[in-house]
Formats: sequence, structure tokens, C-alpha cells
Amino acid sequence: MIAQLLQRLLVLLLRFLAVWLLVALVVEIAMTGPRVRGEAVGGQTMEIVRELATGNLPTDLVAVVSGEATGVSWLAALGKSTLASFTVCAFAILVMLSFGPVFGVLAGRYRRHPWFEAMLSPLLAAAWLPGFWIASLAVWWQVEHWGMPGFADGEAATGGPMRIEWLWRTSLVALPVALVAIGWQVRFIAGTLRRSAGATHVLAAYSRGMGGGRLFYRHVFRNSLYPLIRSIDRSLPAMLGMQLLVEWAFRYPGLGTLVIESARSSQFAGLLSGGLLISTLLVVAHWVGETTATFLPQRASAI
Amino acid sequence: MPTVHQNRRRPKMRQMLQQLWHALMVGWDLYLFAFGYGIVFVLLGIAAISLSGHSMSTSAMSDGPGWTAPNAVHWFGTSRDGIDMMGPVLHAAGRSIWLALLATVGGSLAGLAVATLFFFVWRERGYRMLDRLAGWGAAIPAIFMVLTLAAGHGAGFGVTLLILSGLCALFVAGRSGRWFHELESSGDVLAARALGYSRRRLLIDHLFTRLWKHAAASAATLLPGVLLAEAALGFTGIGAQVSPAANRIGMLIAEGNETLFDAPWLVFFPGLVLWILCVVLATFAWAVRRTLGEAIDERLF
Repeated sequence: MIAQLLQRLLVLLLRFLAVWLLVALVVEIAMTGPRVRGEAVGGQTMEIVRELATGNLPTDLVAVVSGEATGVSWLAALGKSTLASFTVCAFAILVMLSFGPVFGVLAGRYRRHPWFEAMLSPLLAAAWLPGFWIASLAVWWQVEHWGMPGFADGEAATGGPMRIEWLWRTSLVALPVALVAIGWQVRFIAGTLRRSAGATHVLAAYSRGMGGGRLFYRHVFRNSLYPLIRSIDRSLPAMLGMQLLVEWAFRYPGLGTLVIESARSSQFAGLLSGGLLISTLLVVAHWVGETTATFLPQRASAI
Repeated sequence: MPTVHQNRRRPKMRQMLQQLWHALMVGWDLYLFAFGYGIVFVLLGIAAISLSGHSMSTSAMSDGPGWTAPNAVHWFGTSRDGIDMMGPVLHAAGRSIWLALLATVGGSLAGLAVATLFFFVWRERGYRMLDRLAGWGAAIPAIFMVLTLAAGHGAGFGVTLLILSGLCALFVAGRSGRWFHELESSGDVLAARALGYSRRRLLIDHLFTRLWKHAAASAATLLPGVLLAEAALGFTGIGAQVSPAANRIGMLIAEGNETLFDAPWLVFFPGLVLWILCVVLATFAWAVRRTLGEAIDERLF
């Protein structure tokens, strides 16, 4: 088992290297653009890394990203943004896990219901909600109906539904992200269970007289554990992508604001650091999902 | 025993009509989807060409606000300078959806072409390489790549088309590698190989006849996501220093966002149109996949 774990760690290390190289390549390609601050700045990834390690945040980004007037180092700004974004991400995943798997399994269980497709259609609609649009509408709703400061850089709340300031801010960013992710996850799980229900061993059990919940939970659900576990990390890239946009739309001081404001002002250091952090998180999540799946009973992981 | 009526030779025209009717009836569901796609794209294409583009730039507004909330005359309300918003919204939606369509189709064809090249040159090793490359690509959110590339190269129509096509090509190439691998190990292809078929004949007679279904279903599935990515690019305003995402749906939402508290309909209606388009395209994609018997990964949906 230790040998297997070490092997998995080596795989993780190789994946880190591959993905970091890919991020650097994307940023390099972006830097060969026709006019970046008046000149092409290609081939400067190492200078950017040095700037990230020792330099300060450019003046045009300081106020937007850190909310302070004085110079802030890249590392401090990155640490602060990452922490803020991880809180949102954790909250969104928590909400997604509270609803997604339950609704997904229920949808799989009642897949033969005549109204199955109609019942799933709201989730299809939710999966395609433009999160940044929902964030704007949520901000407007707060101001219009609760008289509260809408954007995250507004004044602190003094009452109403915003008594616990940070929790409210975090939820407001996390909920549009989670809503979209729930839609995706439910459809993914329902589809997986539907495909598993057509497997030969399920048909064999059915022909022997087994049916209903027993057949579903014993043969369909158990054998779909691998894709069900992987549905969490597989939905993460789209979820994080949407989170970048929602954070910026809401002016939340997270990685999304840092990355998008950096892109708007052609600060490739912000893009490189954001890309490296996000890809690292995704590789780790993918690795955890894969490694967890290897410890499942053989028959479950074989599907 | 056949009757005289059955033995009588049918006129050629009637024969042709019967064949046409048969062909139509066999693929009626696909034609129906083509018709549905056609209506959406043609109507929005007409809107993109005929309705004029319009910018609500706040800097250009010197006089006081002249906007009107949505009413029976102006369903989408009016902008600050009194322009009915339905025209600009449909114009922008038309441009965005056509950009998404061109990027998806172009990217899918490019991805398929890359995989076909691998089919002739590197075969199994090449498929694995493509699959791995697409897997690494999936470790970076697609929207991050779009925003980063646009930051350096701008967000004009051509550049956005190129960026989105490239990402679609990367995705489809990875998928195509997997399709080629699966199809090459199917019984009829193995039999054809044993009979000494050339690679070219194998591709034309055995693989393309099934690959087009995969490719069509995959393109239909990618389309709403590409539209959403395009809108996100316009919304963030990235690349405006080089070439802005002019007259596109995302930019319209971003412009409305500047006057969110005074005229929320300037954000609401462009976003609503974008959402409806995404849902319509996703529903078509689901139906196309179902009709073609495709089991595409539901996480894309």
C-alpha cells in the first residue's frame, strides 16, 4: 500500500510539472500579443516569477485587489486572495455536496418516471445560468429591496440579513457558483446511474425477479460509486472558472478579482500566479479523486 | 403471386419522390433539429446584420438620463439616450451566437483533422498522447485560458474566434483520439484490417461513417459553453486595449452593469437572452445526442 501511495505521489509530482508548464505556455503565448503595454514582452516568464517572489503589486492593482492605498507585496496579496477564494470554493462545494448527490441519486432512482425529463429540466436551466449575470442581479436586489451595500467593496453592513458580514459576502459569491455546479452534478449523476442501470448484471438481477429500490441501491448505485466520487473533482474546473467571473462581478477580493483585473491591465504576473494556483488545486483534487477511487472495492472501480 | 399493379413499372419521378420521402422519414428527427438550429441561427443572423450596433457608453452621455423602464412599447426598455434596447440586444446576441457557432464548428473540424493525422502517423501512441494532452488541458479552467490569451491578443471578432476554436480543437482532438481508439478495436474494423484494407479505406468506409455522429454530438454539446465563454470575455472587458469585444452580448451586460442601480433592465434583458440561448442550445444538444445514440459525458452538458 505504501508503494502504491508513493507511486501515486510521483504521478502527482509529474502532473504538477506538466500543468505548470502548460500554464506558463499559455501566459507566454498571451505575452506575444501585438500590443501589451505598448510592447511585446514574450519570453519573460522567469522575470515574472522573480517579480512575484520579491516585487510589490503594481499601483493600479493595489486599490482594486487589496483595498489598501500603500504598496502590498505580490505574495501577501496572493495569500489574502487565495484564502478568500478558498473560503468561497469550500462553501460552494459544501452546498453542492448537500444537494447535488441527493438530487442526482433521486433522479437516477426515478429515471423511469414519465415526468423524469420534465423534472430535470429546471436543473438543466440552472446549469446554464451565466453566474456573472446572477451576481449582478443579486447585487441589485440587495440594494433595491434590503437597502444594503451591494458590492463586496461597499460599506460594512449594520443590520438586516447581513449581520454576519463575511458569511453573507461569502454566501453571495458561493451561491451562484454552487447553483450552477448543482445543476451539472445532478445531470452527471443521473446520467451515470441511468447508464449503469442498463448494465448486463443489472438486467440479469432483474430477470431473476429483483426490482425496485433493492435492485437500484444494491446493484446500480454501488457499482456507480467510482463515477459518483469523480463527479466532484470533475465538476471543479467549470466551477472554479465560473467562480473567477462571479468574484469579479461581485468585486469580491479573491483570486477572480486578482486574475481578471490583472488581465484587464495586462499584468501577466497576476495571470501566471492565479493560473498556477488554480491548476495546482485542480490537479490535487483530481489526484485525491483518483486515489480515493483506487481504494474502492474492485467491482465498484471496474465500472 | 404479384398482381399486375405491383408488377407495373413505376415512373421515375414517383420513384424519386418515394425515395426522398423514405429518406426524410428515416431521419425526420435530425431534420427537425436542423430546422430548429436553422431558425435560431438564421433569425439571430438576420438580427446581427440588419439591426444596428449600439453602445451605451456613459462617457458619451452629456444630457440627463432619457431611459425608460420596460413597457408595452419598449419591451426591453430604452437606453440612456432613448434607444429601444431590443435592437441592440438581438444584434449583439446574433453576433455572439454566430461567433460561437463558427468557433465550435471550426474547432471541431480542426480537432478531428489532428486526430486523423495521428490515425495515419502515430496510431495508438498518438491517441494516448492526445488524450493525455486534453487531460492536462482540463486541469486549467477553459475560461482562464480564454481570458489570458485575450489579455495579450485582444477580444476582437477574429481573435476571439481563433482562441475559442483553438480550445475546442484541443478538446475535440483529445476526444477524437479516444473515439479512434475505441473504433479501431471494434469487430468490423479488426476484420477489415485482417482483410488487408488500407488505412485510407478503413478511415472512409468504417471510421468516418461512425465518427461524424460523435463529432456532431460533441459540437452540439460544446456550443452553449462556447457561447457562455464568449459572453464572459465580453463581460470582463479584457483585451479592450488591443481590440474590444464590440457589440457582443457580454459587453452589453457589462455596459448595463455601470448603471445597475438606476436602470437594471440594461443588465437583466441581455443576460436573460443569453441564458435562454444557452438553455435552447443545451436542449438541442441533449436531443441531438439522444437521437444519435451518443453517450457523451454528462458533465459537459
